[in-house]
Amino acid sequence: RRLCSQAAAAAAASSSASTSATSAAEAQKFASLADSWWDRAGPLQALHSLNRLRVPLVRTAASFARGPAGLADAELVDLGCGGGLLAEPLARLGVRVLGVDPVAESVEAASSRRQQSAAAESGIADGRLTFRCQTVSELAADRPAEFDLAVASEVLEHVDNWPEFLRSAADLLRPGGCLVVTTINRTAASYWLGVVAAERLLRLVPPGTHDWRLFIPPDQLRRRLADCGLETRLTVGMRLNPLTGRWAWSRDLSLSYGLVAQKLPAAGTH
Amino acid sequence: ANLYLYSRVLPQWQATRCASAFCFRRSLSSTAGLNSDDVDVAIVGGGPVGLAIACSLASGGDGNVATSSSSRKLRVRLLEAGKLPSSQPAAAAAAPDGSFSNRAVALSPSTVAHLRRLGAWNDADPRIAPVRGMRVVESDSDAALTFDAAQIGGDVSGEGALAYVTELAPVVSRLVGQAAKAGAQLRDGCRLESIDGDNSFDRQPFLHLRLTNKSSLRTRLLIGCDGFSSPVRKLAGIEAVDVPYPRHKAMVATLEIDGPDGLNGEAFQRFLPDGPIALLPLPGRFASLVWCSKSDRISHLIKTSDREFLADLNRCLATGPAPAAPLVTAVQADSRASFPLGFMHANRYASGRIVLAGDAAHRLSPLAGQGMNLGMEDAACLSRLLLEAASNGADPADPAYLLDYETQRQRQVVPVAIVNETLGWLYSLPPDSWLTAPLRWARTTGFRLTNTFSPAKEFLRRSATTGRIDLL
Repeated sequence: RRLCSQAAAAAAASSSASTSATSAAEAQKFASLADSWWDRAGPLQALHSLNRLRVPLVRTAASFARGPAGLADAELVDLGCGGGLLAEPLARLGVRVLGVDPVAESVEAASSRRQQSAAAESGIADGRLTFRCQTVSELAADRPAEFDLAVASEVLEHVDNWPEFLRSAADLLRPGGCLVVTTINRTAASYWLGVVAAERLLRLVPPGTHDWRLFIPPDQLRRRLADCGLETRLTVGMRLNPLTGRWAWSRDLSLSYGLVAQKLPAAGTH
Repeated sequence: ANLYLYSRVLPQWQATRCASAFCFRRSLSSTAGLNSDDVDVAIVGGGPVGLAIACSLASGGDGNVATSSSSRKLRVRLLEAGKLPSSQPAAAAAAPDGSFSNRAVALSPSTVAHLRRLGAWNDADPRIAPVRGMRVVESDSDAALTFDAAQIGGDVSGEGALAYVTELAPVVSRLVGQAAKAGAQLRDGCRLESIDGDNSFDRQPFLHLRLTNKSSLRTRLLIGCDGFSSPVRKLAGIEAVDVPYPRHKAMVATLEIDGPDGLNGEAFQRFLPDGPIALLPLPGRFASLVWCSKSDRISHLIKTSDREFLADLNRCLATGPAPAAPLVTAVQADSRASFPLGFMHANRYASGRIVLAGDAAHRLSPLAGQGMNLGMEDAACLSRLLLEAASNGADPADPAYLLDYETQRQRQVVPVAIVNETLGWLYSLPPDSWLTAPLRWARTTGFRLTNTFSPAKEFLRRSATTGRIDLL
């Protein structure tokens, strides 16, 4: 319910179409899930099991962006990090992760878990995992071209103005850096299976999580990325088995899919 | 200095100049003595299963030290209550020709491939015998089930053997060497006494282990590979179906077979009403015996003279109308020993931050020689999943991966256990009773049919050699 005060003020002050891409309704949805982020058997369990695909995808992006150096000591920003489900395992692998989210409750959940884990020596060195309550566009203004990797996982379909979001994400990357996106395609299949079946029948995700109208087809996404100077290097489908709760890679892009796009170096350099 | 460990070390260890196997001495002195220190994975049990897991996890893969910097190396410590053998199989080299340990195992080709990947298998070892054929017979009919290596095309190791018979000690020695080389910390004379606090993944980031030598250890994951009476299973509170067979026992011995080539690479097994008797080929004229029978009979056979033992043995081997059985001419001195029998299957293989593998999770009768092979498959499956968890930045005890291990392994182990124990029961039916006649007829008919129905036989052969049951 509470967007960060800075973000709300910026949105109010702006005269153009909202710089805060997340609507209040979406923010409320996530605020009410604040206690469920780290309940592995709870309503967000599909996000936990998605890490088995997301982490290797980020690792692939790191090999594009940094070659053999890979993930070790990479600077990564997790856009829309929620409770830090993806940020934490990446930090354990030696990545320097900054998690940002405009929903204060999510950032609180992530920070307090980080404090608990720090007390219990979770294997993450100090300073490698930090969380901030901020919007993407603000962060892009603060820290342009500072990151090797940016991740927007299961985020774009919750955002009203995703082209604007992508532009800010592109600004955060240094030349040669990579953006990793996972989101859901807008097809008949994703309506019947991804929304109706998943939310209402099988309860794989909490009901009302997704608005089908906000889903994004991959070719539209790739076009917008190209507009921002990001060249798509890899697109893969992802499929959830409703019985086992396990995700698997798929050639079929009609439901969930993941994508890695690289920021082209400045003109004249290679 | 850690005197508690040194005081238990045998004199011959101190004389051994194998520095690499004892590199843990240096790491011990750099930690805070007997105080608590942290590891990612603690393994209780220094048998082949525990050592194989230690080797895989410490090396980050198949015996090669992981070079990827983005994978976290797991800190692995193995605790063994008894003595760990030296990593030099000196005992085997010193053994006179013509003498084999009575602890021999028949390893499936997939287990051998696994050991090869860990660097713990020596293909050129002359003390390993490939099993090129198998003959299984009953005692009250002439039905026989035969497997012939010549019929096999392209099994896992590509060498056309059904199995490989080897003494257990050299395999364990090599695994000790490889595990130490990979960076696993090996501690013997260490027994787990208790676990402080909760065994819960969410509420506790570590398990606090207390050892009998008053030291303590914090670990993220505890793997119990400590045999069928597994203290770790009991500490985890995991219930099990536990059925000891007090009236039956098994014995082992090393034998010499008539003829210049002995068994010539063919394993022989006969089902008797008291229990099966099996001969596994060893190199040359030698064979390894596994004989299951009534407890008092086995006790008598262990103590009796060589002559009487051989006469009894040959009589049992030749029982029944089935074609000629091998003739045993001698038994190696001091090689007769017995062990108890029973069936056990744990209801869960994983609970909280504790997981079970090998005999700690499942114990079968030695009817089909599957016990160690199932345990090594457990080790391979668990290692693979834990390495995936590490490469995904997950906590080693992440329940998603442990649940995957349990599901995958139970799917393989439970059918084998059911078939194994049912077969044992079918063959223990009294042969003279008319009440059991229909069952015995069905059993014999099934036996004959399996021998003639190639898809069934092929299924059995493939399952036993690859270690996986795939119905498709």
